[in-house]
Amino acid sequence: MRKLYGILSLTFLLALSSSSAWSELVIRVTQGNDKPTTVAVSPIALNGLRIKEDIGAIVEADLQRSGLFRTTPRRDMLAFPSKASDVYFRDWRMLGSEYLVVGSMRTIADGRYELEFSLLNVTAQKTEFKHAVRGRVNEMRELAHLVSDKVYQEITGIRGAFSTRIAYVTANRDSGKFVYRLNVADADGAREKLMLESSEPIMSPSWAPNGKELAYVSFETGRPAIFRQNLVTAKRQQLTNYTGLNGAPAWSPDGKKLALVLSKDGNPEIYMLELSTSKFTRLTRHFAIDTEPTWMSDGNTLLFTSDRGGTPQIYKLNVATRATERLTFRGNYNARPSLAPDGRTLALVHRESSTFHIASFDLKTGRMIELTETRLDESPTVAPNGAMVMYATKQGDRGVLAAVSLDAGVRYVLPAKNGDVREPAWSPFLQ
Amino acid sequence: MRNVTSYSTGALLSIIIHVGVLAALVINWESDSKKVIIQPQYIEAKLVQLAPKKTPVVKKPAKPKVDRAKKKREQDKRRADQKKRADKNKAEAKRLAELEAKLKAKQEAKRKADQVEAERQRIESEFAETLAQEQADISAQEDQQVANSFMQLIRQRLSQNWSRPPSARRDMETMIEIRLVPTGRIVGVNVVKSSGDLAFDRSVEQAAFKAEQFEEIKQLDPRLFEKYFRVVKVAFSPEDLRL
Amino acid sequence: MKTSFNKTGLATILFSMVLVGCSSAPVEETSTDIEDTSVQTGQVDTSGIDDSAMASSADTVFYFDFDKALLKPESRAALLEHAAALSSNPRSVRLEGHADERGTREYNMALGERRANAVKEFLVLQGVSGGLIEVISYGEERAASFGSNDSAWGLNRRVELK
Repeated sequence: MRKLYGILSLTFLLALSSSSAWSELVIRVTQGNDKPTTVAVSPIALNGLRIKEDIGAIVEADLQRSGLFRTTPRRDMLAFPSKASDVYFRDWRMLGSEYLVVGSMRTIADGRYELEFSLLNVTAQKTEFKHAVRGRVNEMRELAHLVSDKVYQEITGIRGAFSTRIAYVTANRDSGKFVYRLNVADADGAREKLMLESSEPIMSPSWAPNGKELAYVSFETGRPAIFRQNLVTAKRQQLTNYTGLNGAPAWSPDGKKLALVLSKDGNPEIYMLELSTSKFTRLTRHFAIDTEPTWMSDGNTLLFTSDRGGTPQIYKLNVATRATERLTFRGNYNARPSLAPDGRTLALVHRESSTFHIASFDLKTGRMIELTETRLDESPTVAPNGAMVMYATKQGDRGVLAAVSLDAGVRYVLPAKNGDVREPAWSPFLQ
Repeated sequence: MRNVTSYSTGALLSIIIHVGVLAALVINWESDSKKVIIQPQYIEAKLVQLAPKKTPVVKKPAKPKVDRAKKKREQDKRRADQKKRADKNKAEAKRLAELEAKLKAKQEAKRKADQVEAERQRIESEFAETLAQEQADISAQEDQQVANSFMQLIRQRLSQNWSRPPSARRDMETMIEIRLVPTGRIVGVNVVKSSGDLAFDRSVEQAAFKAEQFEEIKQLDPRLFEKYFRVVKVAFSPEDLRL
Repeated sequence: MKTSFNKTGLATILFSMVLVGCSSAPVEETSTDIEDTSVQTGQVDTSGIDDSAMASSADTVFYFDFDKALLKPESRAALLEHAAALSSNPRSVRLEGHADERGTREYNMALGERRANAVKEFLVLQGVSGGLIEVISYGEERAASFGSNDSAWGLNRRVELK
């Protein structure tokens, strides 16, 4: 009897083990094949309306520039559907398109234009969303960028930054004489607008958090001085006039203060300027170089460059207590910190051996990752959605702007302009 | 307000009925239980030599003169016959008894033999059972091996089609269920455990939709298909990412 | 104020104090860059120099090593002449400091100023009145030589006396 019991229980156990192994069979996929997602943008149906801009082409360019998307060439499209019900998924699947954007334009009661568009998931054969945006006839580029923002956000989960702007400085040499220009353009480089032209250097443009003003350094008075300028009215105001350095202006998150650098007391130190009262407060007290301040979102912490430790490194400053703390220890040169919106990733200029790269530095873990392979990189500025870092570099002898993603997976070079381009500053999200 | 009279009448009637029923029950029960016990009269019988009754004697024919020797002979004969009979009976009984014993012994032997046989059969069947189980296990293992190779295929194909979004991080994991038909075509995909990041979940679903069909599944034995591949669970965890 | 009183900081302070008596506070050079030791002397081709205002024919451009603000011996020699000239014929002097393109712009502004200050300090030590000397830095903004190579960089790491 015991023997029987024994055999029975053994049998039972065996049966149990084999069946449970079966029910827990889970395939594990631990690697991927990151490829740009292919999106087809069907030309927007205009229904007879005359519009100067090719909205579909602007959307294609935006998505391509982000590095995360590839677009299906228009010439390969078999049809140009303008709404979901006109779409045969089969056709688009054969083209290799994973997603499809369709849309149409019409006028509405107040004379504005309404662009109705849908994003379709060709692979899953469903509509992801249908949306409408409105604008005046001269705002077609804005509408196109809004489409890009929405498509980008839907697929990546990250807010699109296609409706932002960049400020930058160009330097042209005409017959031996230099002309410096401060420009503002759309993030895709379109609609470049001149803010200041000078025969003297212009440096360090910085965006006000409301996106309506810039602060920068201009040598027009014969010495470097800090100015602020309204982007709509173009009105300017000189903010500093000290001997020595007047540089590196940085707007506080509440827009009420500027952190800046003055060397009037003997060596470069960081000061804070209260814009409403024009009151200056000195924040650092050290005989070394202290420069390139940038604010953290709490409005009470500054990150800055200092060589008080012997070589340029990144330091942290508590504005209220004036306490400083060194943050970077890897490499012999770390400067020009630019904070990402996550508040914990820093883009900066980093050198370990002899070449200057843009690197990302994790404030929490201390991890430093080099993002670029170019040699003379400087002036990193992070997009307000944290997806890309734009910086200045050299292509041959010319200064150009380039962008790289914070995980270094994506990179592109901006369309070249005349002369040298340098000192990019990425705007915040604009209203 | 009810009529008191009718109320009391009804009550009385009810009581009478109840009593009647009760009585009927009780009386019957009582009469049933009252058994008549018959006392057996014990008679002690004793052979009593009764004086011959002056009964009209049936005139017997005059008794012939009894030949005593003859009588004796007859008696002896009778006795002998009786003895013979008795012996015969005895012998018969003995023979019967012997037969019975023989039969019993045979039965006993048979029973024992049966027992042994039963035991043998039991052992044999147990052995057969264990053997069958082992074979089942082996074939289950073989099944699993076959299944594993197809699982590998599915894994590779999904991996090839999986493009991660920029928000993907190494520690994320999404589990999906893929429903297949015997042709290997994916007829359903759904997330059973989210990573918490919608874009990441979506990239996993897209990978499955892009894979679309696993042609090789057609080669599978239908039994194995049902066992392993009608519904497939897949966990996606990007261990190859830098961040 | 939180002070991290570590050995490095202390050493730096002491070292700097010792050197304050000398020309300028040194910037530690830790790069493995090939230094341009073939010092080019002479003219800068961009801005026109008013020769008539100069009382000395000595060099008016002084060069520096990468990431350093230390005067070289030849610079000192030239500056001694200028100091003498300025002592006898005082006039206002403008010292323009520059840096090569490597590194960040605002930091290079500070480096250019440090170099110009090094020249000013030397002149002051030689008796020139500090009030006559204006120091201005252009960082890497006014390159004398274009090109991303050692010789161009060498020409840009300079202070111009005007």
